[in-house]
Amino acid sequence: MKISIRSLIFQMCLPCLIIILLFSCQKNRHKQFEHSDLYPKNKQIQNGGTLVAGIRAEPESLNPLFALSQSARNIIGLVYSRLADINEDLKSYSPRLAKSWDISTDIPRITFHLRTDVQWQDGTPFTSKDVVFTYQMHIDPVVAWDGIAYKQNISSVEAPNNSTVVFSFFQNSRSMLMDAVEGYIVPGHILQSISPKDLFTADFNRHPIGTGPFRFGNWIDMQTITLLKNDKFYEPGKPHLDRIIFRIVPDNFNLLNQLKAGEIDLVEGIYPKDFQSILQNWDQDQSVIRPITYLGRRYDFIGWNMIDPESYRIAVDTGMSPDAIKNDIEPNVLFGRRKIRAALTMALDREAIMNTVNFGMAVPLNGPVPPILPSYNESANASWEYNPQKAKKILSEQGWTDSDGDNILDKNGVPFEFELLTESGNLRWEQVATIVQAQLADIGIRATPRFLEPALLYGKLLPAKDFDAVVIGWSVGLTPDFSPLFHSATFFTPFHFTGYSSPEYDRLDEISKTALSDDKAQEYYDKIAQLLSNDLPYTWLYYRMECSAVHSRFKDIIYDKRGIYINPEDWWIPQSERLFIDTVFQK
Amino acid sequence: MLHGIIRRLLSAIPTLLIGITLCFLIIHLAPGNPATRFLNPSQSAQTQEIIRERFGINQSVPVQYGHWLERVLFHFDFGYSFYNGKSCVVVLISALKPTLILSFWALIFALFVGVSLGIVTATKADTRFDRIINSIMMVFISTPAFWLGLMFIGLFTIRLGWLPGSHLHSLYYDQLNSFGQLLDSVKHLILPVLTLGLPLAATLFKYIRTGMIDALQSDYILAARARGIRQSTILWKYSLKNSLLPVVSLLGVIIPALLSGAVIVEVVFALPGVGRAMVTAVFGRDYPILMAGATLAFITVIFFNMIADILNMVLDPRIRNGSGGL
Repeated sequence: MKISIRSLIFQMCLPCLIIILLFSCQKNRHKQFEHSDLYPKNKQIQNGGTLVAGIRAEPESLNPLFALSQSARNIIGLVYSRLADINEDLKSYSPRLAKSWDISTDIPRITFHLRTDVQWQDGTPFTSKDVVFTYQMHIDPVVAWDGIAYKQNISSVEAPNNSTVVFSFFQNSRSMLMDAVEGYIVPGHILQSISPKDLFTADFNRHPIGTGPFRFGNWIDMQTITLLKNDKFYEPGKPHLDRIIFRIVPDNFNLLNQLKAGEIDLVEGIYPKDFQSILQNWDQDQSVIRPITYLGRRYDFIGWNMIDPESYRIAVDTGMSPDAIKNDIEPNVLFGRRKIRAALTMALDREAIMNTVNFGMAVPLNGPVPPILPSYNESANASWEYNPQKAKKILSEQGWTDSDGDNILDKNGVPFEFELLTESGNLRWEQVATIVQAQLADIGIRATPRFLEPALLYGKLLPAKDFDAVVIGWSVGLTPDFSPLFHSATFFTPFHFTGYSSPEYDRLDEISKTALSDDKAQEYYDKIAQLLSNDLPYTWLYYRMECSAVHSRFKDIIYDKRGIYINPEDWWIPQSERLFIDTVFQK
Repeated sequence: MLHGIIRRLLSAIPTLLIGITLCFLIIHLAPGNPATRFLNPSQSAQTQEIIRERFGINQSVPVQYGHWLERVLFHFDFGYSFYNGKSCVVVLISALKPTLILSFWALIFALFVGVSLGIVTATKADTRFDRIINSIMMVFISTPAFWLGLMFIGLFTIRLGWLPGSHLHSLYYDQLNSFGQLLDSVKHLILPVLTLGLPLAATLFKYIRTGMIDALQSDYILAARARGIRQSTILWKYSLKNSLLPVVSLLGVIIPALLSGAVIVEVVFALPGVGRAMVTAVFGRDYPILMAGATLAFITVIFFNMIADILNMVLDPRIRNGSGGL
C-alpha cells in the first residue's frame, strides 16, 4: 500500500484544521457590560430571584454536628442560626436567636434571653430546651463534634423557662461569650428521638430543619442542593431571594467556565491564576462577574521537624514515658537548632514565593498570629529578611560547609539533604516546594520535594512525626489558640508535629488564656509572637486572600474576613437585572 | 453448552472472592487513615478513638475483613459511607442509573459509528475517504478521554454555546413539559456520550475494518461473488458475521472499560455516576464505598466476560462443537 507524502500531510492536517476552524468561532466576543453598584444608594429592595452557587465537592452532611467541609458549613449557615453572630471586629456579637444577654463575672455566667417569635422550619416553636439539647450534643463524646474545645470551660447549661438559657462556666474568661454561642442550634424535638450513636447515619443529616433564613428544598445526589426561602424566618420581610441552588461541579475548569458563562452566580476559593482573568474581564467591562477578595482564614508555612524521626519512632515503640520522650529524644540533625532554621528562613525569598504562587493574592506573614485577628501585631514578629549570604555564613558557623566539593553542604560526613513533603494535587503547595528546592540549592542544600496524597501525608505527619520538612497550611479560627500546635502538653497530639517544646512558650500560652482584659492578653500574644517567630518551628510563608466571584446583579452582599455568606438574607436582585433563572421557577 | 455455562459460573465464585479479598487488603493496608479527615487541633484521644470505633477501623484488618464478608454474604450489607453516613448500597444504586445510561448510549453510539464506518471504509479501502476516516479515528484512539471531554466543553459549550457541559439536567428541568425534559436530557447527554463513545467507536472501527478487509479478500467471498450473489448479501451476511466475531470477544473487555472510562467522563461532566462516587471515595479513603464499588466492578467484569464467551459459542460453531471455549 503506497501513501504519498501529500496524502499523509493531508490526513494529519485535516483533524487539526477542523479543530482550529471550530475553535475560531466564539460567542459574545468583546461584548461590553455596564456594572451596577454592589450597594445601590437609592434602593427599592425587591423580593424574588435565584442564586446559583458553585461548589466543588458534595457536602458530607447538613447536620451542624457532623459537617466539616466549607461547602457544608456554608449551607448550614443558611439553614440554621446561632444564638448570636460575631461582628467584623471579631470582638462583639449581634443577636440572632438570643435577643440579648447578661454577662456576670462574679459568678462566671451568661444569661441569654431568647426570641419568642422563632419557629423551626417544620412549624414547631423554638425554645430554650433546644439550646440545652444542642449543648448536650456538643459535649457528647459519641457525637464527636469538632468544636468541643469551645465548651470545655462551660460547667452547665440550664433553661429556667422557655425563653431563658443560663450558661455557667468553671472560670472567668474573655472568651465566655464566644464559647457559649459557638455552634448552630439543632432541633431537640427531632433529634432527641435518635440515639447519639445513630446520628451519623440519620436521615436528618440530608433533610435538615433549622431556624435560618432558608429552608431545605431538595438534594439530588452529586448534582444540586436547593434551599428555599423560609417564610417563617424571624426577621420580617427577609430573606429577599426565593431560592439558593448549590450546584456541585467537581472539575475546576468546568466550574469556572460555568461561572464565566453565567450559569453559576457565585464561586468561592478561586485559584489566584484563574482569578486574574476574572479581574481583568471585570476591569475591562467585559464581564458581569464581580471579583471579590478579602483576607481569608488560611496561611501556608514550612514545618521543620525539630526531633529525629527515627529515635522518636523507637522511643514510642519501646514504650518510653512521655516525659522521657519529650526531654531525651534526639534533636533533628538538620533542623534541631534554632540558628539552622533561621538560616533556612533567610535563604528563602518568601516575597517571591508568595507572589509567584498567589499571583499577588496574599500578604506576608512572619509569625503565628493571623492578620485578621485583633491581636495581630506585625511589629511583635521577628524579621528574617532574605539574605542568602548571611544564611550561608550562619550555616558555616554551625559547621555546615561543602568539604567534598559536590556543591552540597555537609558536616561530619552527613550531607545537608532532606525530603520536603507536601500534598499532591495542591498546585500551590507543589509550586512552593519546587521554588524552595531551587532557592535552597543556591546555598548548597538539597531539598527533594515529594508529593503525597492527603491521607498518606497526614498519616506520616500528624501522629507519627515521620518527616523532615513539610509545606502545608492551616485554617485559622476567630480566636488565637496555638496550644495544639506548640504547647508541650500537646506534644503527642497529632497537630503538634514539629516536636517544638519550650517552657517559656508554655508559660505565656497559659497566662494568655487566663488574662481577663484584652490589653493584658495582647501583651502575652505579642510575647508569644516574638518567641515563636524567633524559634521558628515554622517558617511562615504568607497569609492567603480569598478569591471569590459573584454575578453583579446581586446587591448588598457584605463580605469580609468572616467570609461571603455573612448576610444572605439581605441579598436581592433589582427587577431590571433579573435573568431567566430568576423568573423560571415562578411558573 | 449448559454444562459449560454452569462450570463458568462456578469458577467465577473463587475468582470473585480472591479479587475482593486482595482489594480489601490493598485498601486497608495502604498507609494513611480515613479518620485523619476528622482530626482537628482540639480533638481529644478519646474522641479520635470514638471516630475509629464508629467506622470499625479500630480492629485488626483480618477482623475487619471477617465482619465485612459476613455482612455482605449474609445480609447484603456493604456498610455505611465514612464520608456521609449513607448506606453503600443506596449510594451505588442511585449512582448506577446515570452510569448505565451513559455507558449504554456510548456503547450504542460506538457500535453504530464503529461498525458502519468500518464496513464503509473496508469497501472503499485505500481511497481518500478511507484515509480521512482512518486518520480521524486515529485521533480519537490516541486522545485521552479527559482531554477530549475538556475540548468538547471548550468548543461546544464555551465557544459555540450549543450544548451544556455538565450535569444530567438543567436547573429548571422540573419546570419543563415532558418533551422539554426529554430534549433537555438528550442535550446534556450528547457531550459525555461522545467523549466516552468516540474512542470506543474508533477501536471498534479498526477491528471491523481489518476484519472486513480480510473477509472480503478471502476465498469463500470470491466464490460467492463468482456465483453471482448480491454484493449486499456478501457484505452483510457473509463478511460482517465473521468480522463481528473478534468484536464479540472484545465486548467482554469493552464493557468494563466503558465503566472505567465513565469515571473520568463523570468527573469532567459532573455526572452523578458510580465512577464519580468512586473517585470521591478514593480521595476520602471511604473504605466501605470503595469495597462496594470494587465488588460491583469485579462482578461486572466476570459477568460480561462470561456473556462474551457465551455469545462467541453461539456465533462460532467451531467453539460450540469443539472442546475449547467454555
